[in-house]
Amino acid sequence: MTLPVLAIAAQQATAVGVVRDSITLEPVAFASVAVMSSVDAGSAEGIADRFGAFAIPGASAGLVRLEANAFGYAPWIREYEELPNRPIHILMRPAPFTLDALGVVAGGRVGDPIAVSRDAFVVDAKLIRALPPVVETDVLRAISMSPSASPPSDFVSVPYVRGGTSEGTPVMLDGVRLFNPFHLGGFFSAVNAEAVDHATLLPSSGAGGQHLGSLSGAIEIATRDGTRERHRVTGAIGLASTRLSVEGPVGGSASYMVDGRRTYIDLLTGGLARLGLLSESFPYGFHDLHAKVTKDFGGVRRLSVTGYLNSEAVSYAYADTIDPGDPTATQEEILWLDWGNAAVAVHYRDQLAPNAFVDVTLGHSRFANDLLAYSDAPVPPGPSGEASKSKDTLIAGNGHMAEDRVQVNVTWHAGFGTVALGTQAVRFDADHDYGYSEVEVLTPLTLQTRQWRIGIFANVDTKLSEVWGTRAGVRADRFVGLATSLSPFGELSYAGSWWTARISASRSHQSLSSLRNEESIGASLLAYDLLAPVKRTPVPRNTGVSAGWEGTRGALRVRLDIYARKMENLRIQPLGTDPFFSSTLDDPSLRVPASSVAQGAEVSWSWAHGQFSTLGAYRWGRVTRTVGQQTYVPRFHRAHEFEAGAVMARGASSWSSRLSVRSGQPTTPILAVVPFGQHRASELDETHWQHIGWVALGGEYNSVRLPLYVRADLGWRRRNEVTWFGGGSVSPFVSVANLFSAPNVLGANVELTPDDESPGPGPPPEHFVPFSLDRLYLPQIPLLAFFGVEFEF
Amino acid sequence: MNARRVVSVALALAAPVVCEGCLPSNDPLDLHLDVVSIAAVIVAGETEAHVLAGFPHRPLDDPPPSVTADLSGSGWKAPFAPTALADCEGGPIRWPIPLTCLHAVLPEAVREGVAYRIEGRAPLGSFTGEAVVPAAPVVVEPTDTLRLKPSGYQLPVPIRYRVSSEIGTLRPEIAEIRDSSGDQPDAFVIPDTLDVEADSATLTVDYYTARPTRITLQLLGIGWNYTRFAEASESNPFRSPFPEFGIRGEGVFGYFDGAAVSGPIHVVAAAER
Repeated sequence: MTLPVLAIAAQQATAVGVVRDSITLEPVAFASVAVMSSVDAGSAEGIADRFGAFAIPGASAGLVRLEANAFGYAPWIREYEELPNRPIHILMRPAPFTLDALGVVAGGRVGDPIAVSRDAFVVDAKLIRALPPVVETDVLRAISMSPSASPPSDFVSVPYVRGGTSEGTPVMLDGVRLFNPFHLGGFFSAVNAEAVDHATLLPSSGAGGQHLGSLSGAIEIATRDGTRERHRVTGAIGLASTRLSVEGPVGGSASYMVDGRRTYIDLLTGGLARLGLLSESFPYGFHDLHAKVTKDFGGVRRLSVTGYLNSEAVSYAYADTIDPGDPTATQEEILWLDWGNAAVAVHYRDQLAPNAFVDVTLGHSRFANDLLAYSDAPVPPGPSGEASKSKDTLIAGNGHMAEDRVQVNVTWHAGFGTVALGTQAVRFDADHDYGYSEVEVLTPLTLQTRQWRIGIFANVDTKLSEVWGTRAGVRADRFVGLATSLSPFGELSYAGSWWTARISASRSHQSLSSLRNEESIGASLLAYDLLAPVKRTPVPRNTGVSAGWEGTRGALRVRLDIYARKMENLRIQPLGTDPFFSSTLDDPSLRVPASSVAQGAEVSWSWAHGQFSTLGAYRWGRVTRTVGQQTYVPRFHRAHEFEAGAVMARGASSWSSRLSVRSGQPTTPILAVVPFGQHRASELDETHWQHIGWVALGGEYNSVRLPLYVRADLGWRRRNEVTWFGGGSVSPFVSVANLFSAPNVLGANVELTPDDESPGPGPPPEHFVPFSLDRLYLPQIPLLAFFGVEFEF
Repeated sequence: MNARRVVSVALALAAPVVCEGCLPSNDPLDLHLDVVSIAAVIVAGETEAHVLAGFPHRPLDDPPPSVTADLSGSGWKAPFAPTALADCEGGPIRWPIPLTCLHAVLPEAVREGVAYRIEGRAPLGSFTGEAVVPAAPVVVEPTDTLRLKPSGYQLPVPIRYRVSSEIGTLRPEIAEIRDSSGDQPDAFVIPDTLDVEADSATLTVDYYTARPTRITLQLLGIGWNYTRFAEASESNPFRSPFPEFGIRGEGVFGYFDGAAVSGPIHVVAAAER
């Protein structure tokens, strides 16, 4: 028995190589590569990883045919008398065609969002552009097409994933965590569409997310290497900002890419204010800068360095001398809110053996802010005759959080399957000092903490038979000074002729908790988060199970998933008396251990016919949080979510639409609004009117739903080939968000509104309290139109 | 794609938007128009009681709610009947909603430490409630008439007091004020609420006369039903499950409680300013 096995093994070889775009020489991720023997009709196949590299053991010796297929590329076929013992370079030619979801008439696609991975949702740059932009082309808004993603509002593009917590789903950029990677409070992401190769939404931390060590999946953004064909300039001029990207070759084996964005909201609103078209300017500005250099050492060996910088500020200073003769009679207002993040990631890949790769990633990421808002107002001279000033400080403080990460992964493509081994060390550092705050966004807090996390992990992806396969692994983490945890996962899959099915279970741990109060109304308007490690055990833990089915018939692809997850040992602030208007970021010492349960069923599909293609998703879900004795539905959660995107290409033009229909978010019902007045209060009491109040009696917390959410967005763009600057294209675009101006709301409450009539003396009922009760609905975005132009030279 | 397909797709996309109007409204702020508010505090020593009832979700020009109620004491039941709105002193009578004041003559004075029960019917159903009248607050000092010199129009009055745990709200009141000419000057006392956990305070009486003035103050102690309802106004909304407000019923919200008044605090303010 042994000799025949050895003999067969001796006749087998490993096909190793890299799949690249034949024009730009950029890696083609997720291409399928098959090695077919011309001698014994045997075959072996594999999928290129995100760097385009593949290793296919078990390929037959002798005459073989190598075939590679990738979305948006013409098939690549070569025959070899013997498989070369050096890395094979597969250069794939872009082939413009629409094949799958939201097909865009262009080559060089990563793939259908639901076809690339068994459970992840992957969007590429073309798909990101295909959707109607809201302000700007946005990777995070595109990834919200996934049925697993639930954006908390129109104003926050960072989604919650399958009922998880915001801190449990990090946004990663080329292997390093980005803190708060968005602009305008979270309205759109701070990663330029030009730089994105693809973005992956991992709904859980097992299988493909094991290396991250997050609690509940992740959003992984992979940036492009930059073309090695020639120097290119791409960009866009939009309503809010201008983006510019420059890329090109460096020598024969390296490439660079630099892209940045700068807003002119401050300049625009300032100009409109000067013209009298706006009451006042909005002194807000942001910019971001991303740069990447990639060196190809031949074969699968490569080195890339990614740098990222993002800065935002609201700055305003006002001073007015009321009395030139009195230096104290000056009114001043200072508003200086400055925040931003920076990150650097270094990735090196080498080939350890013919069928083994090693990846080393070093990363540093930092978010810092400096907040100051105060006013000095003159106070009339007192009894002593001296003038004075009253200081009114709104907020004062600063802080930062940083993460350093080193990670080594070894991927061994063995005959029986793929084995991945890795180790990771992460240091998290937080130093927040907000000594004074009267704004609802932030409560005063002081926090100085640091934590190390050291993890090792391993997993095996193997075929049990022709149709059965399995993935299983385990991760061990040492949260230094806190706890050690073990996080296993397992998956069993079945591959039919046109469909696949799988069941999986996973557990994950994370020591970082969030200072964010997701029940506050501010959490629907601002996405910013501050993180801090938990100080005491137990460490937050997620346990999840899921089952999935995926089938492809012609141009229709359907994926079904059901999932259940339990998150334990979370740190969540108790609801308190008024969570709706409570602070968005607050002191972590207020947090108590909490848990969460989520279940759901997801359907996603893609279909294309001719020049029309569509991508859609529906999700039903249930989420509860339990804090202390109280169990409630979190405010971001919607039981039903339907998303559909469609693109229709007509010549150089394309029309796109996106429809979102979602059940309303939970809210607390108002049973009665009952007036209240102090018993036997004297009407001569000057504070009498202050003691006349009202009691809004609500039902159970978040026990009813806001009205249905419906939003339709429409976009149009046209690609015009031009001869300027040596040739390129200019693509104007127009989009309308909330086309039907549906009155969507993100919150509802009652409020007391002062009436114009002042109270007067006299017996009741001739004079009434000078207030009336109004219903308050916090609106989502109204009908908004955006336009701009994208260019490429 | 032909025009028919385009139209089909457009209709499919637009259908949910059009259908939004077909769906029943689930506005969480849709308030039932027939909800009734009740405010009722009975005071120890008094032989009458009042209930202020209103339609809090209706406009002022709507008729007030039709509410019937009885107050039960130890061995007796007294019916409430509508009376002039001004008779319901204090409470939310100035709210621009349809209000009615109900009045009951009691067969005996309300007594401290006794439980009273209210039963009635409102447009959406019946309601019941119970309250125990607390023991009256005790003024420890001053025990005799205080003679004080005002500061401007303000007269500081130091007091010491003792209240039972049944009292949740303690409010100073001006029982009587009269200057040397026999007139009743405008006056009020601050703070309007005293700390029930404390045992002393300094009241400030604001009054508008330069003449010597005789002032009688008293402390009003109200139970916890009322106090909890007052505290509920600090949350928006105040979520269920609700604590005891003294009133329970279908579509009826408010409070029913007992109160008791302390003995008098006599103060004489000198004329000198």
